[in-house]
Amino acid sequence: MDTNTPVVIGYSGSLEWNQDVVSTSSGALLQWFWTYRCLTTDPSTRSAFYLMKAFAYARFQLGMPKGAVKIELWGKIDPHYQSFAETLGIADDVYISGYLSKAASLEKSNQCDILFLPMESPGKDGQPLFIPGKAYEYLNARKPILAFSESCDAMNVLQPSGLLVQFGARAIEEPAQWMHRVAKDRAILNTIRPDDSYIVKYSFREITGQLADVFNKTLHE
Amino acid sequence: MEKILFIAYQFPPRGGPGVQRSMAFVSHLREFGYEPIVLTVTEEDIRQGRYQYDESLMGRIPQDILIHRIPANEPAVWAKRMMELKLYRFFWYFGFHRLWEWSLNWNDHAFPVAQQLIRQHNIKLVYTSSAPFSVMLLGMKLQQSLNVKWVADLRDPYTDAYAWQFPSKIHWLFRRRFERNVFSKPNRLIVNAPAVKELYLKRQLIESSKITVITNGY
Repeated sequence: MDTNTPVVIGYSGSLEWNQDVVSTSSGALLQWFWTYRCLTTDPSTRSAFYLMKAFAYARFQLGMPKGAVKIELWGKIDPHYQSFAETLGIADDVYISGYLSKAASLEKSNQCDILFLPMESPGKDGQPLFIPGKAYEYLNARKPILAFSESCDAMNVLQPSGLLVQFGARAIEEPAQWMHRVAKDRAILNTIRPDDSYIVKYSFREITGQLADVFNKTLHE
Repeated sequence: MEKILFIAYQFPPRGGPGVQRSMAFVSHLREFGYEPIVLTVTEEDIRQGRYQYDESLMGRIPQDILIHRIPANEPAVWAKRMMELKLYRFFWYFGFHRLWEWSLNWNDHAFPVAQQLIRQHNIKLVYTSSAPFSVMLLGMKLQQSLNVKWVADLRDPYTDAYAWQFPSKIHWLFRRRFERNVFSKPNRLIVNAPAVKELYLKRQLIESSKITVITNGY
């Protein structure tokens, strides 16, 4: 194995960066009469924010060598993420680019060593209502999946697959230590093995069978 | 083979995440004894709209599936002009009952076609895929006027999700009322995450026996 090849953490899709207007008291009043969104989209509630912070921690606090690990983000990535990487001093290891076709994107994902699954930690209850579609695509890719999230539906889907590397929604130090270890010994990734008998349950053919069951019940009630 | 009317506003050749579930269901339903007859928007709407166009996706759907396409009549050109004149926000605020989803106009044109397809093919079950949520109004109208069973599939939650913006919290409350009035009406409501089911039961939007979780897949 070429030890000089960087470990690549990849994600394709969209990453928003919206500062909330309702975080101040005047904003709270404003929402009654002006634009309203029921949950926050502040970047500090999105896990890509913590991925970058953890990466910076690994580089500058733990001494992870420059170029040992790189982050590749492509798709509809808000330019603020580039600025954020620059602010953290990790821009040399963070590669952000635009849309690719589905086929090209899948090919690029296949070249990544670790697939990053962006998660949200919104609201008072902290339970995301979405299971990102990427979660299923990643199961099919059968590669290590890196996620920063508390327990939620998406984690419940991914956990039994054997592929999930999960840290807390706002964790920095622990994922940094893990990245540092992977940078030193990428063979760690080989210990993350998929459970094929579980993953196959999420093929759309199986899922369509569940829809047909609902149709059967509905027609015969 | 039991025929069903499969209403999916977002359908190939439109690309993006919103079409994957419908495309996969249409591709596999025959294996389970159901023949979907698809009702969707025209290819022209997708080409001219704000949407990704991905012709390759059509290759993943059996060629002999019946697909009926009705013009969407989205007010995109008018809205663009209003945005340029900085007037759209005014209409969005005061005309939200017509602009909460641009797909709303489609229902009026799709209804007679859906009615005809149901009669012609002796269809007993209508499936709707949302978002857009306005399509649920079409499903409900068909259920009530033709006495067919209606299964509504929500690919996303609506007023509980951060993905949608409203002109104000007052408008949001009106949409909450829409959910209360409509979400209990399908014979079965499908959501794609257990947390959403739990939330809807907590909000008492629907009886537990009528809501089912079917996740996405690959």
